[in-house]
Amino acid sequence: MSVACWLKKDGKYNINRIIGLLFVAIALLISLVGCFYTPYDPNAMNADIKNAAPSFSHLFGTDNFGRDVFSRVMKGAGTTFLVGISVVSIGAVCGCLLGAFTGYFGGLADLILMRVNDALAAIPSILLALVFVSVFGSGTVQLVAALGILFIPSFARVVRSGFVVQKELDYVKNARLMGAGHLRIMFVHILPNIKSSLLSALAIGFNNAVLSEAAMSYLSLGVQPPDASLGRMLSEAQPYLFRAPWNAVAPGLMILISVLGVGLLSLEGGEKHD
Amino acid sequence: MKKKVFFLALLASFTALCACNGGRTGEKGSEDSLSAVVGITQDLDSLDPHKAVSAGTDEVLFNVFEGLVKPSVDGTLVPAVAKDYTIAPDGMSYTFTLRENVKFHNGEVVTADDVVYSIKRCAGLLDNPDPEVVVESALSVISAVDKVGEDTVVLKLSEPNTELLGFLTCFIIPEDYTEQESKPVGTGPYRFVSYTPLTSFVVERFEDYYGEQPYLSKVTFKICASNDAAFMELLSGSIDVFPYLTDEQAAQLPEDYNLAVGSTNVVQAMFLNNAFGPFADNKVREALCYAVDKEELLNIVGGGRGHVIGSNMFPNFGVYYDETLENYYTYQPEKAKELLKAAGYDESNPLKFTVKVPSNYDIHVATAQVLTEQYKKVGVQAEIQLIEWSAWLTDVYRGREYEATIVALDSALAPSDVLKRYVSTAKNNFVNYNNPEFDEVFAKALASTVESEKVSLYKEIQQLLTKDAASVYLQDGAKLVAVNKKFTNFLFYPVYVLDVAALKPAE
Repeated sequence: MSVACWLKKDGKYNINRIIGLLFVAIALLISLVGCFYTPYDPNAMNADIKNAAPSFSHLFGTDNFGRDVFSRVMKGAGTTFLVGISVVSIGAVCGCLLGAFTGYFGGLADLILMRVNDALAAIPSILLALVFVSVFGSGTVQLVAALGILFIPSFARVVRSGFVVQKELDYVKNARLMGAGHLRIMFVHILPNIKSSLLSALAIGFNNAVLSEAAMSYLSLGVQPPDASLGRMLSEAQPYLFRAPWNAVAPGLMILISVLGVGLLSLEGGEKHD
Repeated sequence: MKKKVFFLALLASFTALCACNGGRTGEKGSEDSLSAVVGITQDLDSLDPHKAVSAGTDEVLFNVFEGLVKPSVDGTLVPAVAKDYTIAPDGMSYTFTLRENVKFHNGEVVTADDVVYSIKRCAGLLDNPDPEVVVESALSVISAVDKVGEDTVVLKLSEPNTELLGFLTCFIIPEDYTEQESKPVGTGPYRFVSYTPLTSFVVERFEDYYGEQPYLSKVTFKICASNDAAFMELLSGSIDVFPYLTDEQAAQLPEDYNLAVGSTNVVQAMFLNNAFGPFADNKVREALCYAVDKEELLNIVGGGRGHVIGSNMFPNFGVYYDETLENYYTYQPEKAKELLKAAGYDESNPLKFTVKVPSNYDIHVATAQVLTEQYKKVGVQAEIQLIEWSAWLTDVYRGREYEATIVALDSALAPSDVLKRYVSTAKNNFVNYNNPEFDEVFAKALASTVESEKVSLYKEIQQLLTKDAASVYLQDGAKLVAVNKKFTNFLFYPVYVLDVAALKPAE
């Protein structure tokens, strides 16, 4: 299926997909390039150009240390996306396993695990992450671990509900009659059938992870300075909101286009099967 | 569904973008020019002045309480509850004559018993000490507090000390008054009216005050959640005086406010744990001093304001302060590299360490970022680790589990207070500095009764610290205060106090 075809829906170009793809592409491009090349050293300071307005030499201006904001956004986006992807991976893998087993087998284990799941979901995620970080110390690794654990319940619930529905269907009964093992039925037969809801959960999860990273770093509990991340940049920009708004606008814009882009793409993925 | 998700995504990104939009509402400042609202950013940890730990509390309670003596603007100690005092020539006893008819806010007259009780309480000499009272370690040299006659109190010391006066600013409270924590009673120019945690602390003029009556009849200390929140309130006009402006905020000050500039009277430094492997080597510590460009640091974090220091003392100590040390370590990256090489560190084996920085102090976090960049230029890899203030107190200050840290230390009005932490046996020697010569000179300085000798000994001590590069001493920051044009006469003290009694309405 070519990209042009994929962008169409019912023969017409689908605006959500086009914009979503465009946004995601821009965000990915900026962060990928940022891994190898930035116009300036993102941590290099220059007291002479503190809080300089955007210009041709500094596209997004400079921050209160005279660091190039565009370079920092490039680098910071990479960090933030890496955290987002790692968090979603941890959440998705553990959540899938948990949801698959409890949904498929049911019984007492299902009841207990899902109540634990509910309890975990009932606690505000930022609060739990705060506790985690204050016990294990702040840093990128701890942040990923804390957020990853917090993201398990949402995936577990999505996968479990899929399994509960699917396991009653005829194809599963047939497979069982053919002598397929439980593991094979779960992961070869059922899992591909809940692909669509899982994909939209992944997209929403990624967005939440990016926002959580931003929130945690905003509270200076995540990525440690002087390393850039989008949330840290927002946090550091706060005192200069009126005098040097570009400090906040640049990382904010980056969060906006990436979250919006992924959101628009996932919207389509989910709707098709609703 | 489609719309909702789109809207949510939009909303989420916007929340992230605008997370910092504080409320601009809040009641207008009172039209009555006889009352003022002062913004503070720390809640009071206790209303009992002897139980308060944080400097932010003492700063406010300074208006409600007084000691036998109190600090004045020029750094000298002036009589307060005491009318007069004499220090025995051998430095072994202090005699205080009390001022007549000094009244507590509850109407009772201050007696010698109250004074004895208060000093004993601060020094931990009461028979049944309250465990919550913070015992001032400098007062531990007091062996007895005696009432001699109705208006005379004599302090006897176990060893000679001529600098105790700086600690006798400890507040005088009524003996056996049990409600100090809810309704504080002192002798200061303002009396307590009300306290609402996390909201406000209100005081009013004490009509029976023995000294000059303050101009303002009522002062509200408004407790703001953060520096930014306080500045928002200031922009909306609901705060008249705000003493913790950042450099950036000072530049955005609205027209109806004046900017008063003083100094913070602290020693900001990157303290090095001298017991940590690499830092045990003098060469490494010296290299770290040579590698810092303090001018650039001041330009970046303080907008060029602030005063570079070279040892563990700040300029407001006057004669005791050795200003020649400011230029002892100039910015010499090449020399730093050489020293590091001599200590066995080069590109293949770079010096690495972690700087623990209390995350609530923006100035220290910013300083840490500038320093790590400067160290990078000489091949030193410093990694920042932000920690909470309470964790800093337990791990770094008390536990000494750190490699390097950036904070600012304040001090009482006595040169011994600012330097005593470097005595090898001091409980608060968190830098693990150990130099027998220092201990010896310090003991001599403390016991010295001749002023000129004292001055030269304290200068010698500062020089020892600088030569040994005990830590990387950075600056005494500038204190920027916003004062509504309705008021004048905001006074800066060489100690950490916030004197609202001096504020005058502008004519």
